[in-house]
Amino acid sequence: MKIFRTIDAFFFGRVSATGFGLMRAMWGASVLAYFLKQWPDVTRYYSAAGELPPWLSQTMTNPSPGTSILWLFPHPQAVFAIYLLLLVCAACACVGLRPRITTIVTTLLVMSFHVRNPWHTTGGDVLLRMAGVLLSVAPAGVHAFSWQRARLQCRHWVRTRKLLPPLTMPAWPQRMLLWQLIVLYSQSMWSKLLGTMWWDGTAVGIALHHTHFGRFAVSPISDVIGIAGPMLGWAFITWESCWLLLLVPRNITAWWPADRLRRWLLATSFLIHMTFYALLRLGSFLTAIPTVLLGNLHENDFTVMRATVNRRWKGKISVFYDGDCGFCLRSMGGIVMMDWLRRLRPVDFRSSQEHHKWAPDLELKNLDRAMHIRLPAGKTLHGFSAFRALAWHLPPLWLLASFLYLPGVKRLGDVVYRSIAENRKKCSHGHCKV
Amino acid sequence: MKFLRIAAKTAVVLFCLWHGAAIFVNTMQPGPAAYVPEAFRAYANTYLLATNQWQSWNLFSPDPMRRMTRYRIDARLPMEGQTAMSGGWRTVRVLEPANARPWRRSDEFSFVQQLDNGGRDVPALYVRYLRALCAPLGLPEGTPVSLTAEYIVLPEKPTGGDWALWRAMMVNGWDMWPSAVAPCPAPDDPAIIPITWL
Repeated sequence: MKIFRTIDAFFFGRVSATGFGLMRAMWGASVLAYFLKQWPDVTRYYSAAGELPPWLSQTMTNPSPGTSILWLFPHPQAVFAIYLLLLVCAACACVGLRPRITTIVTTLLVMSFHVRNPWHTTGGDVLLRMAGVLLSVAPAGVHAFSWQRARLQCRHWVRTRKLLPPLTMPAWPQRMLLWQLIVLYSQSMWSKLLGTMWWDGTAVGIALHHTHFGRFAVSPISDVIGIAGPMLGWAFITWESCWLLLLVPRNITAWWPADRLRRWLLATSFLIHMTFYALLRLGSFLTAIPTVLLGNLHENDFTVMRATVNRRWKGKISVFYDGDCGFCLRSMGGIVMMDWLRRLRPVDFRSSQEHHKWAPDLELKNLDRAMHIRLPAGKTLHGFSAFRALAWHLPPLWLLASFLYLPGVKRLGDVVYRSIAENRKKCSHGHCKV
Repeated sequence: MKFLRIAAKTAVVLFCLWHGAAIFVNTMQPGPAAYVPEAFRAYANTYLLATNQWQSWNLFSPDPMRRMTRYRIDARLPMEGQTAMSGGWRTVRVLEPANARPWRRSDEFSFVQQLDNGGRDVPALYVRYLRALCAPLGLPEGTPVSLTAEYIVLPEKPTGGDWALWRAMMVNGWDMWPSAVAPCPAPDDPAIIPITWL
């Protein structure tokens, strides 16, 4: 019976669905970007009037394996219509609109296009197909980090001033994803050891100097990096072999916590492939790998990342909002959802208890005019300045934050903020229209 | 209900084991793969082909590719006042990674490389590709056009000195592998969708 409980815990123990939700978003974005850049040539690549018509591709020595809906609809107009459907579904899968159905449709269409003309596909596209299948079948995982989930969160926040507990899912999709990475790296390592150039240390130099792959192929940069080629080659093979350690039972690796090894492998995989991106041209592989790595993140990985980023951060930022205003509640809900670093303390200034606890010196009439924030050091900001300061602490707004400090933006921001703040007075609770 | 739950869980576990085994067997090297029963390998390959999950992780392995290729498009252009067939062959474009736009590079070079490797089995594919090059290059109807692969093989064990030798090879050391020749179609031929990225 113990073996059944172990199997049950291994495959069906609950894990955080956040990683899979992030993977879905990045996967949708990768598919959308990959296919968008083919817009001018879609009919040439995939229709019967293009470069690989069905009657010629079937006569090849190795015709493309697999099934494709495009065999049934070979006309250019039909192909373009199906292509548009793919783009729409990929965009919806990225933001999480009807995530289950859009993910399934996107996956099936991606497979159809890849099978129809496999001559434009690379290893990264294989990973995207595989990720699409896992996302399609993963229970609950695909709903995390979705627009639908965001709406549920917002409604729950407005009702209870708390967010929903994180979504969880059974472990088996994540196990399959991790197994795919183990197979990828271990088979690649095995194959390298069967060659000669990885043994004699020339493989890295050749790859860097190859004009198809190396961004600096004819530059002395490749010569310099190539000097360390033997050491880099062996280090890479050793790193690939470390993935096999994840198969060793935990009670044998007690000296090296399995979680720490997995986290180290995921982090180094990301860094290594970003280095590859800087030095080599490898097509969609370099967006596919980070996508798949996201799906392997556990809840405690996010905790560790949060603790690392917050290492020098002390205290909380109090954010004062009007609990009687529906618009304000929904806005605050959105801000709290973006508070991935857990640095904010929402304070309803309409509650006299909270008001006196966190900001007895701030007058109600001032708090009513604009959102106020109080930083841990005691500085108080309001309005657009408060929003601008908050942006640095909300990871989804980090890209926007620097633009908010450009000349002229403050003045414009103040005007916009004042207009919104004044209009919120015209709302009744829960039925605001701005 | 409990029975259904157990049955569903059992099905999921079996699916995970089957899928995991299939992708492992599919990516094994030929030597060790021979120890796997032939029937299992056949079922696994059929399953992966049907679900489009076939995979091969052989970029830079067992050894990185040493052959570098560029593609030269030649056309037989007429001398002034004369017909197309009377002119000599002139190079109108060289396709290589350095002069391709970054967001199109992998799409177009993957295709022309696959054409170079596998398309030679089907000359009609090569001819079709050549005819699609004519419109963007402004070649008139009937102009003979050809695509020639030029390649260099990087030395297997280069040292610092050899990279300087390789750069010298890049100027003069290209070998050629001629392809088919095809006449250009009419510019508005509906059977040919022209290439847009040239």
